[in-house]
Parts: sequence; C-alpha cells; structure tokens
Amino acid sequence: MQPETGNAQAPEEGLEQLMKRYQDGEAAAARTLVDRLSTQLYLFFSTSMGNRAEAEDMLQEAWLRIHRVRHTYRASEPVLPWIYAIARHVRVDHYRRRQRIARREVASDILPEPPAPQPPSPDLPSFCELMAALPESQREVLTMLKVNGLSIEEVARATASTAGAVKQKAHRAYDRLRSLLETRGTAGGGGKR
Amino acid sequence: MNCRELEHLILSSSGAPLPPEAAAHAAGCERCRPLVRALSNAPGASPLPAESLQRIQDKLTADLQPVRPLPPPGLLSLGLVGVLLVLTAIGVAVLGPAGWRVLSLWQRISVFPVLAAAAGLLAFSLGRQCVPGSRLVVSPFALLAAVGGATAVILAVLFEPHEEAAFIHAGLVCLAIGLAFAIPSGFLLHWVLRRTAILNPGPAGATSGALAGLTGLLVLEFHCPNLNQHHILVWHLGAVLISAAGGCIIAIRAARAPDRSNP
Repeated sequence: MQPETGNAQAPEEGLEQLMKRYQDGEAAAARTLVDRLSTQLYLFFSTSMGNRAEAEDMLQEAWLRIHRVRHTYRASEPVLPWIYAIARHVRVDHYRRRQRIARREVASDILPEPPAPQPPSPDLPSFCELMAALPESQREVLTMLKVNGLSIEEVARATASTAGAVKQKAHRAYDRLRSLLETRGTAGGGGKR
Repeated sequence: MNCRELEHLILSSSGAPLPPEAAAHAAGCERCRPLVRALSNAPGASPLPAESLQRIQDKLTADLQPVRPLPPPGLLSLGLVGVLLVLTAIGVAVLGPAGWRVLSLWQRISVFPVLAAAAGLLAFSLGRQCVPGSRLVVSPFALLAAVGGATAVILAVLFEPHEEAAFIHAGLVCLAIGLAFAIPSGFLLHWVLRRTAILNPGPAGATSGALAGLTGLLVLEFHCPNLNQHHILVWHLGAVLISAAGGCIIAIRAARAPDRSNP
C-alpha cells in the first residue's frame, strides 16, 4: 500500500489530475475523489431507484468497480463520463438483479412490495413522479442532464451513444412530459388557473 | 422563440438559468410553462452519512497500488489490426494465394483496400467501446451495418454471378476455412482487449466477432479462386456474419455469467 501523502491539495484541483494521482496509488487522491463525486453519484442512484438504502449500496458497488478498472481511465479524457458510464452499469446490473428477485418471489407466491403511493400533487407532479412515467432510456438521459448537470456530450459518452441520440431521447422525453403535464392539467385543472 | 427552440436551450443549459428571451417564452406559453417548472424541480443533492463515505474511502485505500493505464486508443486499435494481419499472413502462407492469382488488377486494388478500411473502422470503434466514457461518433451497430452493407455492395459490383455445380459443397468448404481463421482471431482479439472494461458486451462482442470474421474473409479472398459473386456473397461474407453473431452472443452470455471480471 502506498502511504497517504497527506499533502494539502488545492481545492480546485481538476478531477483529471486527481484520477491520475489515484492511478499512481495516492490514497489522498482517492479520498478526495470519493468526497467530491459521491454526492452526485448518490443522487444519480437515488433518483432512478427511489430507495435510500439501495442507492447507498449501489454507490459503494460503483466505487469498488471504479477502483477495479481505474487503469482504464485515460489521462486525456474527461473523468465524469468515465465515472458515470461505470455507475450506469452498476444501476443496470442492480435493476436486473431486482427483476430476477421479483420474478422468484412471484414464483413462490410472495408478491413484491408495491411501490409507495405518490403524495397527492394538486399543482405539479414531483420530478421523480414525472421521471417514473418515462421509459428507462429517456429517464436515464434526463436524470444525467437535469439532476447531475452533465452536458450532452458527457451523457453521450457515459451512455455509449452519440450526441444526436442523446438529443433525440431528451426531445422525446420532453414531448412525453408535455403530454403528461397537459393530461394532468386537463384532468385536475391544476396550475393554469 | 418557439417551443422547440426552448427545448434546445433547456437541453444545452445543463442546469443554468434560462436566458431572458427563453424565460419570457416559458412564462407566456401554456405548453412550456409546466415543463420548465417541472424540470426546475429536480431534486438537489442530499448529504451522505459521513460513515458511508469513510467506509468507501477505507475500502479503496486499503491496498491501493499504482496501476499502469491502458495504452492510447490508437495503439489498441493498431494491436487489433495487427492480429488480423498476422493471421491473414499465416492463412496465405498455409493455404496459398490461388485467389489472388485469378483476380484482375481492378479487383485486386478494390477488394483489399476495402477490406482493410473495414478492418480499420471496426478496430477503431472496438478500441473505443472497450474503454468506459469514450466518445463514439457512430453507434457500434450502425457502423457494423454500414461496413457490412458497403462491403457486400462493393463485392457484388466487382464480381459477376454465374452458374455453379457444387455451390453448397464448395461453399461449405470456404465457410469452414473462414471460420477456422475467425475463431483463433477472436481469441487473440480477446487477449489484446484483456485489460479493458467492456460495459456494453452486445455491440462490443459483435464488433469483435466481425473483426475476427474479416480475418477469415481476407484469407478466403487471397486463397479461394472461385469468382462467382453468389459464392463470395453467401459463403465468404457469411463467415463474417456468423462470426459477428457468435461474438455478440458469446459476449452477452459471458457478461451475464456470475463470475465475470468486467465491471
């Protein structure tokens, strides 16, 4: 194990420099990366899963995988898409595992717990409520763009697609959200009076 | 400003406040106002328990060792192309260049550069697919379809169809030769990529398989003297298709195996 250098790094040190030092085996860089990125990653997991405990488990799993493949980061590339690509994979795996368990539970007549009822929203549905109405791929893109604040290019890299495909998904998501909000507005007459 | 332009601005703003013109449109538009309000309600970051962060940090730093980063993407792609060239050279040395001898000059200067370009494009794409967060210009499956389609069209233009007595028998022999070179090529490509992290096994497996199949196709183009267009399109190109499909299936199954090593 490399000794922790303990040197006080500048607060604005770029993620790219931190990743490079992490690859070099500096424990302080690893700790700083965890400090700086965990909150956003946790938000990414909790927005898509809606469960705090599961999100914490996924966060831990994501960091372990990041650690295992840290050599695949290339110094000239941006860090966030690399991190989110791995985090996204953790989420997909977790989702698949959850589906497998749900299938087994159904098979043995133990029905999975139903999702918590949404709180009534007379004016505007919550962000998570709206996201839940979107297909998985659109939800993922919108979460990265609007919750995690990634750029289109970063989302494209993280999701292994092209910028054009990301834009298309986002526009489709907006169309869907518009119709959902219009339906709710008509049904509840909410917010426009 | 119209609703579509506002969407473009929302997309490119990445959480920053909308410019005044866009905000004015959103305030006055019945369709955009609820959307903008809903999107601005995105949940904010909530603090994580300090002990959770500490636990993660301790795990990461427990046996932290320096690691050697992957080679640059160009070098990785070069390694992939190198596998093709070496195995093609072995194939030509073992089986002989009977096919090369019967090709016209025009066919020679068309077929091999096209196959080399196809190999280069697929190697470039695969080199990027194997590194998380890499920039993809074209989606891997779209690239595969384009490369496969273009190769098929060029081969169809360069060769004439004619009647063949032993179409299936001769074809199966060529298919077997093509696959006999594609399989070791696939193993060697896997070896070149052993330190990478494949997050999307389907497209990466298909690209890898297609690249391995191209080895078989190259060997066949050098070796097989049969210039029947149908023979080349069905059996020579068939080796690439089978190899790509096999690569895709194997990669997906390997990724779903419980003891996989990739993230």
